[in-house]
Amino acid sequence: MLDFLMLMCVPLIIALGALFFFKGKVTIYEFLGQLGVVAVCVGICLAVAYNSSTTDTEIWNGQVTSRTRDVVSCSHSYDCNCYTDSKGNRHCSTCYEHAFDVDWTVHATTGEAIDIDREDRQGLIEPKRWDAVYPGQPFSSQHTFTNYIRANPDSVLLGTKGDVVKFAAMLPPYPDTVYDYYSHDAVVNMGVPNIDMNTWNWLLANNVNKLLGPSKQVNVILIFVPTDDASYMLALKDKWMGGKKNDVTVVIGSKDGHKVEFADVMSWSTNSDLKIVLKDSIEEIGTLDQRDAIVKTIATTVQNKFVRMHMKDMKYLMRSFQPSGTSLWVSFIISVLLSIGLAIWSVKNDITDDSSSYNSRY
Amino acid sequence: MKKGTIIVLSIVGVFVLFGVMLVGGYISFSNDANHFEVDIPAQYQQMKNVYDNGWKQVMETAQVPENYRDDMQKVWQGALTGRYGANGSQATLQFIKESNPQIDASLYRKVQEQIESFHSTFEASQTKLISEKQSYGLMLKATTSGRFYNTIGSYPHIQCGVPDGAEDKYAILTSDKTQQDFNTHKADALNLRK
Repeated sequence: MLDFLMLMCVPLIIALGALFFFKGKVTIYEFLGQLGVVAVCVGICLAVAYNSSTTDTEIWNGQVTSRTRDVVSCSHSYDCNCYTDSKGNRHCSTCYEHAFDVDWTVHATTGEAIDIDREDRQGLIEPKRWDAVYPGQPFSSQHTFTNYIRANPDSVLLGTKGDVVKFAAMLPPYPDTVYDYYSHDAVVNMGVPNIDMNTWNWLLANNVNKLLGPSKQVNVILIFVPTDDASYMLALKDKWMGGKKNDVTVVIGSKDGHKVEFADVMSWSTNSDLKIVLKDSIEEIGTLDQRDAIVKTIATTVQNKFVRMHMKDMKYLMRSFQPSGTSLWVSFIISVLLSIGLAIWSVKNDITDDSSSYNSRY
Repeated sequence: MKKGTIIVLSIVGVFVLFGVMLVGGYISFSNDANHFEVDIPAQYQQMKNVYDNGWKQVMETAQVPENYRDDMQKVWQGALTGRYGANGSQATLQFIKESNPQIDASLYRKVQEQIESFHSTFEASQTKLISEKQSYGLMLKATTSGRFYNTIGSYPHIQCGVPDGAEDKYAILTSDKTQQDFNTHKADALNLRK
């Protein structure tokens, strides 16, 4: 609120200046309009500053439940039966290209439904992609959410700072890409040899994410890193800011793709047992050759121990949020320039009817 | 209504609007500060709760292997007595394939996990408390509205270590060793056998 008022001070002075110095050329409505426009603009700038600092994306997981061929109203409208009346006004009706359209839809346990692109304009041809859909396929979707932790990147909640520079080459970007409508690769390999990515991805998607996604609201990510330095985890935590609220990020360090040098888990789960039990269990298995055992351990532990954190519990972080200096300066410059522009425009143009007493010029 | 009056009223209206927003801003600031002043003691209580439950759980779990060991002792005793007789084996030569009851090591692992879990949960609880104090301090000192409105509000009204160095009734728990090391600014290498 105070930021808004401070940003409005100079535009207010400019508007008052224009009102008094250009007597007779700026109406009171132009003055109020000028302030209103600048206020909206400042409000939008601040809203962008606040939202850009807290908006984040997460992945939801589930599985395909069914595919449907839905007959829907035609969406291809055009103007038709046009005529011009005696006053010269043109009138048209709305016509549609088809009597109906066909949507080829995929439904999932996440409660979502997505349409496969039509192969022809009306959708009469069955799309090949839709034909390849079957119930039980893993289904992932990307969602935006408010992440209050992003508003306060120096919070002690993120723990000890890691050496992001040292591990830069091994720190992947967050895997939030959903491709081919609903596919998502939750396994990331940062250079560990002998890792069959297709198999790991298949196992994780089919045995963990698609089953536990809806019931536990969880997204399990598996990262392989070619190091035995467990402090890697701190760097990853730094770069990903602890991950998303529904993530369980399992990191396995291995130099040869066989021996597990270390395992660690990053999650905002409110049950701390999850990290300890999962880390210990994977280290006890000790080898990446036992893929099924590792994935089974992940599934069982997440099923029994994961409790998703609710972002509202972190809302207190927003109370100490301050928009960055850059965003405030940008907002200030925009508001001042807009205010000056509107003042000049008000002086040069007459937008109101001088005959009305309320619109009379000063 | 005269033109002049309209203009004066409009300008006054704009300033009144500014004033109302200023007061609204203070109310919002005050609400936020009061939230912290309720949340911090509550989190402190929660920390006590976590601590109390945690150590009790560890102590209770730790008794299981002890009882198990005592029970196993009895089983061993029974097994050996049964095999060799009350006075031990009297045979000159004896060919036996030994098969003794084993102590289940997973019980100890369970205790270890329980201790780790206790530490982890308690640490998370303490971290939340520190985070709330950090946010409160930041709100008062590092935000424009905090610095401005707190000239009137004079927060904090509780002793919670905000600003840094102030009296703290809600301090986290640390060990003597930690206090000593931080007071002397010296930390010796850990020697587990010492």
